[in-house]
Amino acid sequence: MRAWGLLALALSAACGHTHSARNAPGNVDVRRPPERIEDETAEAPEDPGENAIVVAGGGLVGGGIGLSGERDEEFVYGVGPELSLGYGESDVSHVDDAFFIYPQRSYGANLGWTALANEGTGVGPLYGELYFGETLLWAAGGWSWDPNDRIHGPQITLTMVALYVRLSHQLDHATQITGGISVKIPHSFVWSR
Amino acid sequence: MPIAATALLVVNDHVLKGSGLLPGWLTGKLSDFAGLFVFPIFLFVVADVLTRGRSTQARGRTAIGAALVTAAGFSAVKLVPGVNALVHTLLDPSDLIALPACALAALWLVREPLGAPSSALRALACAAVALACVATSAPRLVRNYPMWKVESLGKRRIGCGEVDVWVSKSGKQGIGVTVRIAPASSGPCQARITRARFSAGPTAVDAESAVSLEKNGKSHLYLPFVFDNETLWNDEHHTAQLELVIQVGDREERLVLNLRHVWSGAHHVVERDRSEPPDAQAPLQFAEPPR
Repeated sequence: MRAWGLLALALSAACGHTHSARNAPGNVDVRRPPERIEDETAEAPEDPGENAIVVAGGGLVGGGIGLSGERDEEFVYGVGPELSLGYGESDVSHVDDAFFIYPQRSYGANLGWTALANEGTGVGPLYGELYFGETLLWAAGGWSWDPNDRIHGPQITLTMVALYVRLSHQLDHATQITGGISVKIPHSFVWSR
Repeated sequence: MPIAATALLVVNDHVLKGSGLLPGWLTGKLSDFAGLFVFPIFLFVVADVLTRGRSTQARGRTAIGAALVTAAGFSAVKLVPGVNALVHTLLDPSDLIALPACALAALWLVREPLGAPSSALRALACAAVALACVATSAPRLVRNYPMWKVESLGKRRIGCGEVDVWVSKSGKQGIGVTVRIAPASSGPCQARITRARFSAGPTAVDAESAVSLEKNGKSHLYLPFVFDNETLWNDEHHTAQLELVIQVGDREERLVLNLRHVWSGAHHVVERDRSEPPDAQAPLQFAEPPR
């Protein structure tokens, strides 16, 4: 129990963001006089939005159906870690006390390992995906490869907030449709557009 | 459960928010979770009162409908700028993490063997409405911007007028400077700027044509300086000089003002419905006597 507590503490500490001062000024229409010319305080600039590099680590837990030409449908499960690295953009800069800081649109890559699975005999499949995210919806596509069983194939993952659905196909072997929970703790490095 | 959630909403909105006892993100989320639990129950009670005597199955559908309506409304407020503008709250998609509270409310309503709405439940509904009306938002930490500030001029008598200068606009595209000339005595007092130059690091730029505006009997000249301020900021040129040659009445003077690019941090606190200017002007004093 203590180990779980320490793990939760470590994850919560990792969940954060770092600011850069780069490009910090806002947007102004310099040629147009201020709305209140007599006001001796400067007019607030417009928000240019921001960019971010996001590193996210966590894991996926899920189950679903396995379809194979040799066997009937069977229940399959998969549990394993995943690491993501991406670049993102937001039209509106983040609020600093938001629960987590994540860009509005993001592009990047996921590297994962389905460490515990009923399919296969070795370390379990490794996979790499490229992803695109908009608000709280991410679509990813890539390839999985099991080094022990020497099977590989494409996979597609759709994630909404913390729920995911994954379609993976091992060439000449089987197809799996799984869904579950994806929990990844992001750390964003943020700078102005 | 609903009473506990309502109590949490009250304590959080009226005691914890802004108290410094808990971080802002946590008090914000507590309100979201509690509110999204209480509001579907409120909707359910209203619907149940309007259609009294229905079957348990119908009530189950009403509970799920109330949760879905609440979730859809909350999502629209947090994601759609047009809807968000109606309720004066921040557009923050991360608040959607509280949506499972709607499902919990529906689950509670389905599992709870409710008869006709009790007086306690009605009171809860009224309380939910009242709280929805008076709930407060915690101060939010929104983006702050570096601003050029004049750090060296006070009101200065030149000829027939009193002159004051400040930076009105500051951003990536340059700065805008306002020069105010107030007549020091009754009678005509004409003023014009014959030279206005901003210099910082490798940048030296003259003002584009000044815009003259009258306000409260005082003449305001707005001077736009267009330059790549973002590059200046990134190259860490945070000090500048503003040279003005002003003719007021029959007197002409040359002022050289020191400017500083000031940034008081990546974010600043904004109360609900308030948009404070990022930085107030510092008290003004002469840095260099006019020649």
